[in-house]
Amino acid sequence: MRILFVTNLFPPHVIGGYELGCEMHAASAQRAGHQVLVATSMSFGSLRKHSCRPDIDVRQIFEPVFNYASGDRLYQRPVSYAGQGGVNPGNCLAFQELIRSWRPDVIWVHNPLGLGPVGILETSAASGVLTVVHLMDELDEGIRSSQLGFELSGRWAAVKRRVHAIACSSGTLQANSRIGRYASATVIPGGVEIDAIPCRQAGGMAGLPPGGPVRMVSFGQMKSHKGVQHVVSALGILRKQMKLDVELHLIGNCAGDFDRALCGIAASAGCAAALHRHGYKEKPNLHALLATMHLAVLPLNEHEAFGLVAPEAAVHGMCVAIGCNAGCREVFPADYPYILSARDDPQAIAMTVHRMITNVAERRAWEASLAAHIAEQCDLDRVVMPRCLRYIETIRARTTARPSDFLPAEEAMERTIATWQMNRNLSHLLGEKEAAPEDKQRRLGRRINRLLRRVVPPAIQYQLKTTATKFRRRAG
Amino acid sequence: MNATSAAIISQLPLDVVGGGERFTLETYRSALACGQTVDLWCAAAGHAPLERHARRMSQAYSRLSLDSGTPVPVETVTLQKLLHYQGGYERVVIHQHLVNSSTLDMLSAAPPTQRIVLTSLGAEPIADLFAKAYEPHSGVEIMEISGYAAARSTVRGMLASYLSAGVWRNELMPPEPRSSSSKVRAVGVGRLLPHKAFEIAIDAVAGLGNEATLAIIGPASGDAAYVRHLQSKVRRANNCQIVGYLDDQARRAALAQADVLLANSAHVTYTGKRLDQPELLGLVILEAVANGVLPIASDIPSFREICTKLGLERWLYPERDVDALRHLLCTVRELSPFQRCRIVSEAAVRLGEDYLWDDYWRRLAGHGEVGPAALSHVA
Repeated sequence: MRILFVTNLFPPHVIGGYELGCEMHAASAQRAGHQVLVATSMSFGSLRKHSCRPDIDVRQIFEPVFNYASGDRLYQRPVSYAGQGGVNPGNCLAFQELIRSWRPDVIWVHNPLGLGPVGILETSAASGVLTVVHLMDELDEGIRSSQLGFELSGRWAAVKRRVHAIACSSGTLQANSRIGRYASATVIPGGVEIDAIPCRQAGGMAGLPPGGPVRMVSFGQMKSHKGVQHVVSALGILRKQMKLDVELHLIGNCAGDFDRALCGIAASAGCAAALHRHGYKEKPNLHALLATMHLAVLPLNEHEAFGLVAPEAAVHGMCVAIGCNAGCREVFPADYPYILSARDDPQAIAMTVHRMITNVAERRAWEASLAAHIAEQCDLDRVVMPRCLRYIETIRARTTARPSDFLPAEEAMERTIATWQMNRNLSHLLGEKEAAPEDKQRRLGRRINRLLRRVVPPAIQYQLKTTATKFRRRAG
Repeated sequence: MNATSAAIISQLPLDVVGGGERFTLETYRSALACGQTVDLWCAAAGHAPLERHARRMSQAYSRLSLDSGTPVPVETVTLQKLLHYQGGYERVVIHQHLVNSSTLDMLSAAPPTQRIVLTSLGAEPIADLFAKAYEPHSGVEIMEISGYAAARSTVRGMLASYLSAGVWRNELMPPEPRSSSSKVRAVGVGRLLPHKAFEIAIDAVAGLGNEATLAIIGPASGDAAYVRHLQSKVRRANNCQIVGYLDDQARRAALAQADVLLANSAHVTYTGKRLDQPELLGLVILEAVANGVLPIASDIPSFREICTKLGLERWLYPERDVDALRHLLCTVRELSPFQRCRIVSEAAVRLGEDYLWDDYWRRLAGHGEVGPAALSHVA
């Protein structure tokens, strides 16, 4: 098959798992013998120095999605709300031209947020080419919260009925059913490149020298919403209260502010010497380092779509403590004991780690079986990609007749752009400025935030931020 | 998510008995009669036409039921919610589309596969803004209710077609010769608004003394000064009366006793104020013919269009010309009941070809006819 991947970002421009997942899917499909082309945005600047796979054909045809600033500061703002939740006519036209010229058999959309997702999906659906959206985040929520100055959630629901979906977890599929439903959907977990891990099953407590410190690892995105700060606090509890000789190794790029905050938390907890920050590591180096770790602690996002880092850690032969809401929970055994029911409670995290370390028999049993259990479901090349391709082939086989409301692609494009343009015309005539995330930040009192950052210690800032996020989510 | 495939959305509330509101309600009934599953929505209240986006999204719209015969709200949502529902309809008909800028929100919220029909029905506060913001495409049709209305759209740079309806087949009463009378029994029907120019009818009939009578049927509509003006004229004339509102049955009964219906709408009101357009269609003329009554109408564009199609051009008089109207009344008086009956019968045959609600929705869904007048005015 000729498979056209669509993604807002693609390595070397990476924020998180969505773009890395797209890269892995593209590479795996190519290894399986399919022709692959990736359409992505012309992101300018770069924050991550991810490597690229030179064998993947990548076309940067879409407008930039994010505005990166150079330097240490993590400074990413979406270019516009229209790009996040509406239509970008230029992107639609570029996309239509690529479809027309390259003639894919399948369009495999990963993250369309930032590309004008309504327009992208409408263009894809109108092309007549089978379109599959790979769900690895809450796209519906991203679109719903970006309807500022326009209201296209009905169009999003309408176009979803014309495309199909693969979700990385049933929770993710449910979260993406809030604004309409896809024509069909299936759940296929995230894939781990097993063959790319030369030292798998080399980690775990089996490698712990007698009397040596337990090497605990947390890796991936080093951000507050991943709960890293709670693991650092738990380190203090493990060492001071539970008298365990534990080290915490953090692997991943960490912004300057957050890095200082983590150091401050460790210093307050009296465990600064046991905190080791390794920064960003390319995959081979990452896996080599993971092979030396004894256990992993990954609270992950409160609404983590999947959390590929957890299966990756398990494949290394170590036990992993994971947040109870993570999508990857579905690939762990139902009776797996190291689930963090309170992912933002350092005491609860510490107690789970304590159980991992002290209940030797239980841990050894899981270390022996977990890697194989995860590999059976998450082996990218042998399990995940074949399932994805079988699903796509099944839809292709049964989708033969044109829908009753079929429109030629050019006519559909005319309507996609004209309907969007009317909204822009009206806003202009009424003198309404296009809402931009930058403006929203100002409205939220950015100056006050800057002042607080100068006055309040970083450790307390992040605790306050975490608490505020929790309250905001509970409120609605 | 709704399972119905069409929606009719009125940008004005439907709790007022006027020509535009009637047209919307009958369009809904026509859709049901043609077997269409359809939702009827209307603005829950009169909304300001040019509000900013955030305020527009909170404007209220009600879904109506006509099961009891009169429109009853069964669900009320914000415009934001309605736009979300809108994505599930295959076809959306927007009436009074020049009343509120939220029409453009509805056009923006339309999926590419959705067909939208716009019909103005007369109220046009945002006509200029709409002409500037509107981007024509193949999914939208402007389908006005008369060739005159379509020509007005085309002059603004928006190609429009037209499709009319006014009566149901079962309302077409075979005309019967009225009982002989020495008096010409005239009626005027409509809301008591200045552009209806009922004072012209009163002046014309008053001048005929015992040879004619006039009954004005219709509700007062908020213009107290105009109602007082009419009442003072009626008091001075001995052969005129203002009956007030009558329901459909009573109104048809009154028409059954009448010889002529006077439709007097004019571009200039009794105070000298000039209107851009007083009528876009003229449902009263169609209703008159359906009930066997000969219509005499002022020569405004929409009335001329209908009368020409029905073969009644002879019964047009220059607007606001009392003497010309009186002359036509005298001409009617000279005709025998059978002669009047034959004129109306011939008009009724033509009415049944072009103006029935029974197949209006089917004609609308099948894209209707494109009036040559509308096409010829494209800039």
